[in-house]
Amino acid sequence: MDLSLSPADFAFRDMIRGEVAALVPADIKARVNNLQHLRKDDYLRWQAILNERGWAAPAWPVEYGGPGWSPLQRVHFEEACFLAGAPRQIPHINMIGPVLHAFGTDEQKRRFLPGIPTLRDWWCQGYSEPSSGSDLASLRTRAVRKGDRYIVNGQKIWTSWAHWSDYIFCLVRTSDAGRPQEGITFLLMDMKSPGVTVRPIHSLDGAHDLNEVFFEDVEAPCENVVLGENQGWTVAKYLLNAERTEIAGLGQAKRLLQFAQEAADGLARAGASPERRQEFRARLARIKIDLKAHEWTLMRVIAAKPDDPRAPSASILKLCGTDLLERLSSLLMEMSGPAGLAYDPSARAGRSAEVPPYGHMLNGATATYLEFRKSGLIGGTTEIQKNLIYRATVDYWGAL
Amino acid sequence: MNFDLSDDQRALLDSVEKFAKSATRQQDAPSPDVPSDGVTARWRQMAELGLTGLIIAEDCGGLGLTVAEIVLVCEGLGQSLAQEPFITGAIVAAKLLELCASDSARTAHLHAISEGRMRVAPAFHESVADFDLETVSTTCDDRSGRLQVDGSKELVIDGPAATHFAVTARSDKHGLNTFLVAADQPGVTVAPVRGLDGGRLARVTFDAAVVEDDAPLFGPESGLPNVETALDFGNVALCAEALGLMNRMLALTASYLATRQQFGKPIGSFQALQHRFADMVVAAEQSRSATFMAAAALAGSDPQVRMSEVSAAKSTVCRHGRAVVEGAIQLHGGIGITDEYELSRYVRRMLEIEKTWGDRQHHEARFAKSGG
Repeated sequence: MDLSLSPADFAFRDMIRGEVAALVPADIKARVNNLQHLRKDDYLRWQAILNERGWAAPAWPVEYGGPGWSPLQRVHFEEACFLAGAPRQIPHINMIGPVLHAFGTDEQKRRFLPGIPTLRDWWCQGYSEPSSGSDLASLRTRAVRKGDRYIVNGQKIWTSWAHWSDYIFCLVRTSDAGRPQEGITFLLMDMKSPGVTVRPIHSLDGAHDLNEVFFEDVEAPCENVVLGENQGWTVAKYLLNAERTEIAGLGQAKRLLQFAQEAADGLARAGASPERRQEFRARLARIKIDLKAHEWTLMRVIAAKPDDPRAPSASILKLCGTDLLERLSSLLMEMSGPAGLAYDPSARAGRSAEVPPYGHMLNGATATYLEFRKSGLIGGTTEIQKNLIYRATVDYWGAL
Repeated sequence: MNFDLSDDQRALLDSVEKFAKSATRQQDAPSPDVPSDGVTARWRQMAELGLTGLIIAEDCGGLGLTVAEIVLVCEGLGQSLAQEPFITGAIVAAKLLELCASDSARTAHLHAISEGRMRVAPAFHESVADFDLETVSTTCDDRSGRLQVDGSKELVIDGPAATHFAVTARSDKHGLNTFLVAADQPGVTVAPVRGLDGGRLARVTFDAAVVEDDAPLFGPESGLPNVETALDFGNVALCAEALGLMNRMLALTASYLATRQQFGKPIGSFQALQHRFADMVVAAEQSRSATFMAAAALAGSDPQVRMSEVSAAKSTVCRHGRAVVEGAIQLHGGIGITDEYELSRYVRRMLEIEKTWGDRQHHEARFAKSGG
């Protein structure tokens, strides 16, 4: 056991912080730091900048054009991006990429990999369905084989960025035999295919990230199956593991902490009473403490050997990350006080150039609270994570 | 960074766990009191294993090990409630004396601790309302050519079995300093106070207790900072001990969930109880992460970082330790609130840890003050 970062780790962290901070375009940074939503074009520009440096797909190994970073280096890169006011990483790069590296055919790799880091091809994830949320394996979107293609019918929901997407990776039902998990196939589909309809879902804060995606007799060639028919659950589990460090939300939490710190520092000037300031300061201190512990849990997860029963699980990271995001966004909203009554959604979405009456930060505070109500739901609900934690630990502790 | 144990660390942990199991207090007596001679005997055994010199340099007779080993050993002792008087005598006192200004005194004292001849109890606190180290009215001044200590200290941990006290006192000549006072010195009165879990505390009074000229340990300006440093080591040791307590509480609770039947099945099959257990696991893991962080900061060179991260860890352990305690009691049902059941000892010891050298409130405030 050796509890210190190596000089090389420190050097990489300092290097990447400096480099990333110098790369972020000023207008994008301003929108991020104003708690505004970004446009598709912002993501494309940022991704092009990263691509020039070879950092567009941080989790990819060198042989596929990635930087070949260690998990710890990826954490430092993600943190540097958040602290610099850069757009968030498009999560699908680190999801579909590693899946194709592991299970893709040569043809799939040749065809799909090059467009992923540049965002020439924007991907979305088709997992949840109206009747299949936490019970994902019960999904019913059906793919029926007809010659050399599948005919897909059904509906996906909560699909982030489907309206910007060129492709979707989907879990579809190809068999009803055996356990529900055994009849699922991982299928790549072109969003421009006839029969695909995308309908927006507006979130509590009025923003449009989420969608419903409908498939009506959509054709997908059989060579778009990853790993094999009815092998989709294996692929889905692999993908979950690939995103286990991102699920910690560390960078996002650090950014919200920055905003909360600025808001707290401005309370006296804004005229908030000493009693209010005292309460907010105490809560902020506690959040900072928990964020530090969370960061160390992430490092322990990264350092753990795959079969170590004593290593903390990704579920613990997800749970603690969610807790921090929920508390930080609540604090931000509560600190906004009466100013949080006013809300101009078009200023937040960047559709209007007007500055909201009390400024962008106060305009975004309540909206950020509303936005982060999603954290306990996405990527496996808090309750599902607790089920998993129980199952993963009770036998170990019971046997001691 | 690497969280796996080396072969040497594994061997150390094995010997500590074996020792701790044999040295744990009687389980059959409710709220067992600890006789002083039991503590003395245990200290001697710890010395035979090299534990009293764990962090003392090899040229002073110790093992010269690092903060990682402090965490290992204290967690191992905590699992079997066997830390007394290790954390006061081998961690806080050893660290304090390592910072001693005089080379000859330092060498002599550290050898005496390594060999198990000297058990120093830190005697810092006078107020029983707060954990403030600067509330000191004890004095140590020159009276007709001899330095003498006057005043009294409250809740001196492991005080009844100590051979010496490290006493904070104000002095015209030496500033706010720490003075080493022998327990058998005329003028020193040790009145035992029973601790929450039966551990031994003391109120120690000094009435014209004469001390040697080399009794002030530090230069006049470094008295308080050195005490802070030593207690930061002590607090990380307590955090690690708490990890051991949490391990045991998780183990007791997990096996109870599997064996206790209600409504015709094991209570562990009910989701509400599974989730409460998951909350305990998360609390224990966060405590472990925070403790590792603080241990790393102890090894670092920046005192501000050390103070803020140790306080972050201690407040985390206080808060999450209580969550584990309360979860364990709730999931055990009625048996969880009995003195007779093993859990009771862990519950009380966790509260002792919370009330030793700063609780959550104290350390959250210190975290904020030290720039966290």
